[in-house]
Amino acid sequence: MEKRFDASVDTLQAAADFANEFCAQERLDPAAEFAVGLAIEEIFTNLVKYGRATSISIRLQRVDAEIRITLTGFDVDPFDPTLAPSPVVDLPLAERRPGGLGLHLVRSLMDRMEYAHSDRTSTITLAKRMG
Amino acid sequence: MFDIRLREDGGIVLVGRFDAAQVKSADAFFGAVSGSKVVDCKDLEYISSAGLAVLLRTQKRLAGSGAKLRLVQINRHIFDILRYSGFDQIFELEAIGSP
Repeated sequence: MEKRFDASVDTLQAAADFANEFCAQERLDPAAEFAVGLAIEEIFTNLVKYGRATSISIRLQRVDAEIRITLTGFDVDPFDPTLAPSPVVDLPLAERRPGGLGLHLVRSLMDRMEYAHSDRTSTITLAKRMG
Repeated sequence: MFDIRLREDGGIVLVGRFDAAQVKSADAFFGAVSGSKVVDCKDLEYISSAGLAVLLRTQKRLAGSGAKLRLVQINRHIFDILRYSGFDQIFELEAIGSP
């Protein structure tokens, strides 16, 4: 399934509803559903924040034993999430800085992340193995 | 849907989906919190890095006066996210079903 959304945090609820519909259709367990929803939000908000996208399409597929999530940002500045540094998450509180956690969580929850950019269009593909 | 409520005993209750769309109102709420507080996560279904950042900012601010947030009744998925984020090092966390 595929759907296009305005690139704004105000459409996150609609994107989550779309993701939940897919997860229900594929009978994913609650842990996988949480992971899919979180990965979509984190990449979506990155495309809004760093890419200044105007719209974002989300494509969700099951390919054999893999869930594949493809987000395409339109009219977007290049921003490669695969190159973003991971935050150090075992620092004491005084040294912790908010931010950078989103892509770290996506890496923790997904098995693969790929990025491509051309003609002001960014495509981020995530994959998670099931079972 | 997301909501933050105050319990009669002064505890904070998070309900629903704490995503990036909720940051502004949540920052306003947590910015007014002073002193140590229990945050009840029993009805919190989802949190993303945007929500985690609100909690982290609050914990850092409260630490200045020796206070802190304690997160309780956390569901399994959110507990995993908190651990991946290293929040088990900087928050007292209690999973759902803990005695």
